[in-house]
Amino acid sequence: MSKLNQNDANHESIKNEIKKHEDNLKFLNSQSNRLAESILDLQVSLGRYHSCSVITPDNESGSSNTEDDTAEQILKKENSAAGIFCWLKANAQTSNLALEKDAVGVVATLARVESDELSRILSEYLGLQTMLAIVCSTNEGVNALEKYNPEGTINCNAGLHGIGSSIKRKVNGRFAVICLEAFRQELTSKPRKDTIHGALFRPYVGGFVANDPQKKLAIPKPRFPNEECPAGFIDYAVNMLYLESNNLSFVTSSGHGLRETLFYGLLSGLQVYRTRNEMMSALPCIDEGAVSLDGGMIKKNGMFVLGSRKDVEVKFGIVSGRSGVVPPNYSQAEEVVRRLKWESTKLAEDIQREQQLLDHLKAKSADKVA
Amino acid sequence: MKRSSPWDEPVQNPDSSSNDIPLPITSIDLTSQDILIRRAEIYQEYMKQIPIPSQRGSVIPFNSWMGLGKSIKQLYGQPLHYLTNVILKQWDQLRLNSKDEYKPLDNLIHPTKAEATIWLMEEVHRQTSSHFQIAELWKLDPMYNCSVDAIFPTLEKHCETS
Repeated sequence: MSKLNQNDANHESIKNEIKKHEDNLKFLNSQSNRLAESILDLQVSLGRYHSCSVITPDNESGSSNTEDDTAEQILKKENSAAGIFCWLKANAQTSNLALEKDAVGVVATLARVESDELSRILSEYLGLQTMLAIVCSTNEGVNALEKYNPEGTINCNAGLHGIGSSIKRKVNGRFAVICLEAFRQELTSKPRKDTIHGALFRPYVGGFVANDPQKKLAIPKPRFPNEECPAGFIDYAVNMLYLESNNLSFVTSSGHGLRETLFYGLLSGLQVYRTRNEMMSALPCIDEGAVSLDGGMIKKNGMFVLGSRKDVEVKFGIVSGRSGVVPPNYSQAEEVVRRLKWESTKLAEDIQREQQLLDHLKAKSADKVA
Repeated sequence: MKRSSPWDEPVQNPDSSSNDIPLPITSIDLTSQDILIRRAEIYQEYMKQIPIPSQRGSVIPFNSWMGLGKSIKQLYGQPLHYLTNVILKQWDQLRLNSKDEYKPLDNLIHPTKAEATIWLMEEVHRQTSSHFQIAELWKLDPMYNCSVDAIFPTLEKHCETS
């Protein structure tokens, strides 16, 4: 074959390849649009029931803490990363895509609890720094929050510091950021006591409570050798958190929810007891810390925290009583939304791959022509 | 295991069976064989383009195969193949309840050998897997995307398409 014919043949074959990739992209995009439509339809249906449900205000306790209160408490801490972050979310017109897209929220806003006592003791157990920690989905989100100068100092014109300075606020001191990518599902038959290289948090490996809209974790109750449950044991803290439907629908890139990644990572098997005495009587059953509603606290590492309790400035909000009429398949529908959103992210990744292949091919063919 | 919840279930209207939220069947469509085959073809072609790194001087301490996989992905900025990720997960599962389960894994297998093994596996998977077979496996594994890495390295200009 002459060189000219060979060039024509190559050119033809590259053209066909490019067409193939373009067709693939069209196919993937149409799948993506169909998914997006289904998600929107479902969200509209679910949204109808949100607006129907009646919220009864909690007037009984003067110190009740609704979710708005939590957001207000955070906003009060003006010179904190969480404060600036919440301000950013509330003032959507100044949305900074990289930062906002990846961030999930501040820990204290991601769950609520049933009672004020539980809110106080759990918030105190976690501590202010953790309660104010910003949760990001990936390392990209973490990197978007803070950038550095070549000499290693913080660049105050970028990231959260940059946003802060534009609204005349400064991030004082340290702030914690939790990256959900750090929660790898490692398969172990029992919890490991030795430190695991690289694992910041121990993710949950186990089942979930069947048919539970809150998808609580199926952790066996603590028991004495005589099979009895310790007196005063209420539940595991991780299962006493109430997640709003938008947080319930959130999944990490590996398909897991917030409860089994973030909250299990922070609380693990923390047990909740009614009183301090009952908690102390149950010591042999306490593996990963415990708290009591009247102020008792044992940390995960076995450390006793004695003395007077000190309320943390930012606490979990209280679940308000709701009564509403929901269709029987409401939680199933929520699960489907969760799943479809996840599929949609994965489809977008396929699109990214195909686009990369197409661009690469076009660049190669341009090189050949040049 | 069923446990009682600390708060009330939402009130259910006994007459609301006709008010069920209509659920889409799109999720079923996504797992249809044709679509899976097409997506597997796209995936396999992409993975084939990524060159196996030639300079690998690293020695990575590790305590689990999936942990080592994650470190490799971060160090080289490359995804590992679905088939590789599945095997790493299986190797970790195989350790459960073994006598040396709690021994650090790099005491049992040298890190250099472990990493070399992963790269060899990776090369086999990238260069020789059939997308039809991958689609078959994906059909049996609805959550297959958990083992598909969302890492997108720059494709080198000297790579040849198959």
